[in-house]
Amino acid sequence: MTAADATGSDEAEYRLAHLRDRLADDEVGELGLRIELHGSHVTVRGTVPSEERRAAVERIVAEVMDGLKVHTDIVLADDRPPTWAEDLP
Amino acid sequence: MIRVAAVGDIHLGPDSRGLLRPAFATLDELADVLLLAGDLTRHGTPEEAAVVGEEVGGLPVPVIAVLGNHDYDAGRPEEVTRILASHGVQVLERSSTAVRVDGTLVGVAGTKGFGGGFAGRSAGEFGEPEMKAFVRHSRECADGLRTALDRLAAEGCDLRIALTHFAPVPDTLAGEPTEIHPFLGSYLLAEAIDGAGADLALHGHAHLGTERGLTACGVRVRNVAQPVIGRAFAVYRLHPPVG
Ligand SMILES: [Fe+2]
Ligand SMILES: [Fe+2]
Repeated sequence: MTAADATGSDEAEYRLAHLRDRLADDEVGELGLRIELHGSHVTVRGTVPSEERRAAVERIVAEVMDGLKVHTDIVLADDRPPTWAEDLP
Repeated sequence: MIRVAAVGDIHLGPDSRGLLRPAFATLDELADVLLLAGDLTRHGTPEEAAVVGEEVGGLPVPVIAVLGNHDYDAGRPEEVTRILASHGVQVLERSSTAVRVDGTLVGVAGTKGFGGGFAGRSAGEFGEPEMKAFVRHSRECADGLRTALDRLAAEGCDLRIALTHFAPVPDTLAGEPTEIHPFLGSYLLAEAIDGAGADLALHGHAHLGTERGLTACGVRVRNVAQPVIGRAFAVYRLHPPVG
């Protein structure tokens, strides 16, 4: 098999590594997501500050991991003030 | 009793303008001071720093911050610091400040901190210049934190808080893959905190971590990364020692 033929999970691992770089780039700047490869499935979970950022992450993951099944569980940051305080005696 | 509000990793940019302001506007009822644990922006550009400044500018409580790795990404941390300062935010880096709340003098010592890992599994200042520079930066941040905490003690602070971006202990990293712990914090920060003493240590950076931890010598550690605390900010009630 030549390098150009390389497909399957080995190659997907490299794509996953490059995905992290893509996500850290100018557009989204997200380093705090947990991205894992499970055979032909990719899971992405974490918290992002805005709907725009979530859409950008989902678009980039789908683009870079094209051909694999992508499952995302990305929640939006909760911007409400706390309803309690922790007492530190 | 002193109420400390804290949050890190808000990662603001032009698309998140105004999102946190309504919560921060409630601070006068909830807290006496707001501490920001770094990663306030996505890439540390002046535009993003201005968004942060607008979100926290003119609040009824003092705002004290450290920067995070994201705030260094564009290579303009001094500019970010200047823009935040123009909105009344005091940015600490191996330095300290003290605010008086009623009769209590509350000191905050801050540094971004850096990685390297935790006791028994950490990088050493050995080998290639790149490796030495990595570990040296972490050590210099920790040394600066210790000096700043010592200074606060000498100034007679009733309460002292250590504010960092990187984590001082692995406890609050639970949920992060262990393989990346050396990029999330350094035991050198905890050693500095334990050496100088502190009433509370706050950090961010570990978005997938957990909120509560403890240093070897019993200083309470809280990871206030916004994804971890799940709110606009957390509030901690501290009690100055009596007598
Ligand atoms: Fe962050
Ligand atoms: Fe960070």
